[in-house]
Amino acid sequence: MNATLSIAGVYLMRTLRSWKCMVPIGVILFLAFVKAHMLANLSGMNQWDVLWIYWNDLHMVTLLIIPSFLFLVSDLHVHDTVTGYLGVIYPRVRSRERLWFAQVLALLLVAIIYVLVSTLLIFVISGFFVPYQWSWSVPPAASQILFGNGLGVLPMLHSAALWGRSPWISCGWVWLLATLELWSLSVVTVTVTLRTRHHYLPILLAFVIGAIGNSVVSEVPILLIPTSQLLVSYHLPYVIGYSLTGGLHVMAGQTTQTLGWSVSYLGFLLVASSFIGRWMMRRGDLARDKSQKD
Amino acid sequence: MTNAAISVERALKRFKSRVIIEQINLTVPYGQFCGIVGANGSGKTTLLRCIAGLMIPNSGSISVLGQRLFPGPGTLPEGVGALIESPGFIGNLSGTKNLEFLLSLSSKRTQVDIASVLSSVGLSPGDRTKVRSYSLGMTQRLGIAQAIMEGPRLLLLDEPQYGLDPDGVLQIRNLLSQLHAKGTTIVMVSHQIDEVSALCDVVYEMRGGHLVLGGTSS
Repeated sequence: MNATLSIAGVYLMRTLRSWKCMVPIGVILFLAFVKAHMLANLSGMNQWDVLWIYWNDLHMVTLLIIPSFLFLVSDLHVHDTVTGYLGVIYPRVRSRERLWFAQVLALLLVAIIYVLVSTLLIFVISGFFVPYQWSWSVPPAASQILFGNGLGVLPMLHSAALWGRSPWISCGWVWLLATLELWSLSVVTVTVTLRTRHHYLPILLAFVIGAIGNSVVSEVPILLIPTSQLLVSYHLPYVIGYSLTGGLHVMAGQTTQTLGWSVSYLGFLLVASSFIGRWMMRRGDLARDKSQKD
Repeated sequence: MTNAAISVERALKRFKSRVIIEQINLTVPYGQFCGIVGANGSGKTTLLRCIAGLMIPNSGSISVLGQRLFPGPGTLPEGVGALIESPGFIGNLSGTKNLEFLLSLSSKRTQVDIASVLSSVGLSPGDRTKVRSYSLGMTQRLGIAQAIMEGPRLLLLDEPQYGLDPDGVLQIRNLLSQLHAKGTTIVMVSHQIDEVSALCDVVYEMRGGHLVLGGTSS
């Protein structure tokens, strides 16, 4: 177990050391700055509102975070299989089982760090523009026009009231689901990467799986979602917020059920991809011959 | 199970319909320095990758240090060092940091003097140059360093002299001779028959995926 943790730790360190990791965080920082600045002009907003909007409605962030995260994950494993790094570490790791378990564990750690660091950044930056308040508030209608896409912001901010819980509970759900989503999609990505040794195909597949899965979960016919929202739709907090609107398709009373479905879907995705990945790891080559066409 | 350091029986590996190695039988006793020569694309590296557990043969069996790899999960026993073709490292770390990283992966916690290992392959221990700035020869030296640093019982080397200058070739030749004298079993793959003949107890040749005995030092 200690050896597995060491391997996971090394994978984690290598991922975090990658400069690409800074790209989405930098983008988040910039967008957070812009958004917080705009929010400062509105009354009645606090950091929790900013945080909530960020996770649910900032489509640019959504579109940049997940692909860059998956690219980061995919890149490392493509690098390892193509460059011969696995040839260097395998005599020390010695077991494919251990290697796979360490990779999955490292992906979880990376996903947690990714979500928490992103959240922390936006929260801290927003603090420079609006005074800290440790309670929820309802933004004015103007913010809906500014940030809303016609589906979600205001009802999502009401979600705390809807659940009757503190912001920590609501944000906890978002953190949990966002982490679970990044983790499960990254495991899918690595699983496909192991077989294809390709940078973009695994990410594309993760996109498709995520979009279809979340569309099913949110009970929205996939073909009815505009293209731009198709990618966004797999961002689970958004789906939850969508369900919380209690309006177009999903009744507010179904919130718990939708959450349950979301967790079940992500759990299934994670378990299935973990088993398939483990199976592929056991059956697949860890090195690639120049003449080999996968 | 055999008492040999390596036992390969009727191993076959193909990529799609192309057969790379076919019906390979190879037994390497403990302490032997075994060389495998052959032309480019003859299947030498593929055989070495199968022995290192990185590639799974389509049929046949492989045992290493008394442990069955294939058929099976491909779990390697402790005590195998390997340099398979061009070794991959973390480019934004120094050679020393890379070796420290690799040491942290080993389940066997051994005290390794990284500085002396680096010196033994002709690299400066104090050099903080990042590996991505290394020349081909320096990368190869670092690859040899990682393969030998934990004192393996079995050393698998694929073209260890690749990219080295004449001094480097001589230095690595002396290093391998010392390791062999200490009882390390070594399998070296190369297309330089002179180099292999000078060092190895026994030499095999790969021809079109088949292994034939080329000769012994005696």
